[in-house]
Amino acid sequence: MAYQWDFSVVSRNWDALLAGLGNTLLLSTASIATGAVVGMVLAGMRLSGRRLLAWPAVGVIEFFRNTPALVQLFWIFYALPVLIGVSLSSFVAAWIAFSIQSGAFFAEVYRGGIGSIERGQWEAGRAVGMGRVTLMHRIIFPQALRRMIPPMIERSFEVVKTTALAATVAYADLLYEAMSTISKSYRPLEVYSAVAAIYFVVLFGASLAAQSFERVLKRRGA
Amino acid sequence: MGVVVRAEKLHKTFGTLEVLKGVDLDVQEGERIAILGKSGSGKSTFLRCLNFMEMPSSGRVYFDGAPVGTSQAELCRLRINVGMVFQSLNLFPHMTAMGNVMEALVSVKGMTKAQARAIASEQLGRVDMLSKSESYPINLSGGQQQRVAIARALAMEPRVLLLDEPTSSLDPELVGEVLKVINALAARKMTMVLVTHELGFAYHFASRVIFLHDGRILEQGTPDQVLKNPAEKRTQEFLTGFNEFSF
Ligand SMILES: Nc1ncnc2c1ncn2[C@@H]1O[C@H](COP(=O)(O)OP(=O)(O)O)[C@@H](O)[C@H]1O
Ligand SMILES: [Mg+2]
Repeated sequence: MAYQWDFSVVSRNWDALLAGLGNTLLLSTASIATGAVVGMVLAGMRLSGRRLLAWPAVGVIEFFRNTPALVQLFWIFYALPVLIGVSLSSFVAAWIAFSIQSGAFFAEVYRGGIGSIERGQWEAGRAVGMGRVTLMHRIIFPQALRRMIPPMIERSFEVVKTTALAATVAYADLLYEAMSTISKSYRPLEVYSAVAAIYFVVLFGASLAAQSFERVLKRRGA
Repeated sequence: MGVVVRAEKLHKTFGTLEVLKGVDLDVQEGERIAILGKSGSGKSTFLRCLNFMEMPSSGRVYFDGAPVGTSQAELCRLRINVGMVFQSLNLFPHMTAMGNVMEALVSVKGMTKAQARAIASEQLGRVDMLSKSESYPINLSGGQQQRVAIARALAMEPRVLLLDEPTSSLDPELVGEVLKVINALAARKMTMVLVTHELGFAYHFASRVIFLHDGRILEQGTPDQVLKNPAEKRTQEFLTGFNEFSF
């Protein structure tokens, strides 16, 4: 017996799915933005040359890069409240988990970008009397930023996909809305297909936009 | 006339490798010193110790008679006064030629953009690069890049300019234009310390030639003394290696 496809379940629940997508993008944007800052702090600590700063940063970076994101999320949602005595909403828990996790990856992107700038650039800046801050701000960072953008974009896409894990702590993201639709309609095939298609359209569209953005950057030299 | 930069008993070790073994040098105002020596003899390291691109392991550097400390502020001040031109050119690739020369005038000396632009234009004119002032380094030849790098160093109005093999990375046909610029500086009495393998150029350029061997100054004197009548056997050996140079 051939399966009878019925995508009307998707159109009937379109508003809920769209709201879920909105929450997915909200959590993604918040995590990426916070992660970018966390990454900057971690990279700064790691590159500071001071052990007291560098070692904790290395610890955080390696821990969050080498444990599953789902475990991190569960730990912050279920375990952290036991320690601090405050229970966190699923959004806040996911936001914290994915911010630190993406921060750990972003930190390595920053470090890689800065480390890829030739020694001669540092020397040329120092040779005209630049101090550390000016050198970083005017010479090293602008060049490093161009090299960081592609891996940053790549990482950001990973974050968007990772946020689907937040459905497991009942955050009303796209996946969570899909699961609740399925529990009412018993149409997993149509709904999950639609969800995959929505993720694909959003990320593939963003990826095309990123590529043309990178082309513009390249055309502007260096 | 006076001593602008003095190096006193400079030692430099990298790990267990002792590269400088006690080098003393007084650079007089208006002097043009050429440093010669085999590859690996410590020429670059010595030059780089004079503006603290490398920290000497021991010894002292004096500027205008005062010992230079190691605080960042003091090092920045020293480096404004002791400019440097690198073998590897090292222009800032994200800035135009004009931007390269203006940059430190604004971000280090605190000038307005208009002031910086005026000075940069003048310096770029002197190295004959004004017509390319809006070009990015990637669109300039090696010789053009090095001339911009010289303009960038000179814009800071250094009292001494250090040049570490400024033509060694250039195609042979581009060497002449850079040497011409350096000669023009000499004519304007710029104090310079130049590491070079262009012996013919060194002969005409230098007021003093120094032969560095194995981390020590083995011999120094006028170009005639060192290049035509070297006293040391090592210097003679070194010079005979350059069979094609003529004065
Ligand atoms: N940063 C460094 N770390 C370790 N060794 C170095 C470094 N810089 C230079 N050296 C070593 O010091 C020696 C002298 O180098 P250098 O001063 O560049 O010589 P030259 O300019 O006369 O060719 C070489 O053996 C070189 O390998
Ligand atoms: Mg050298």
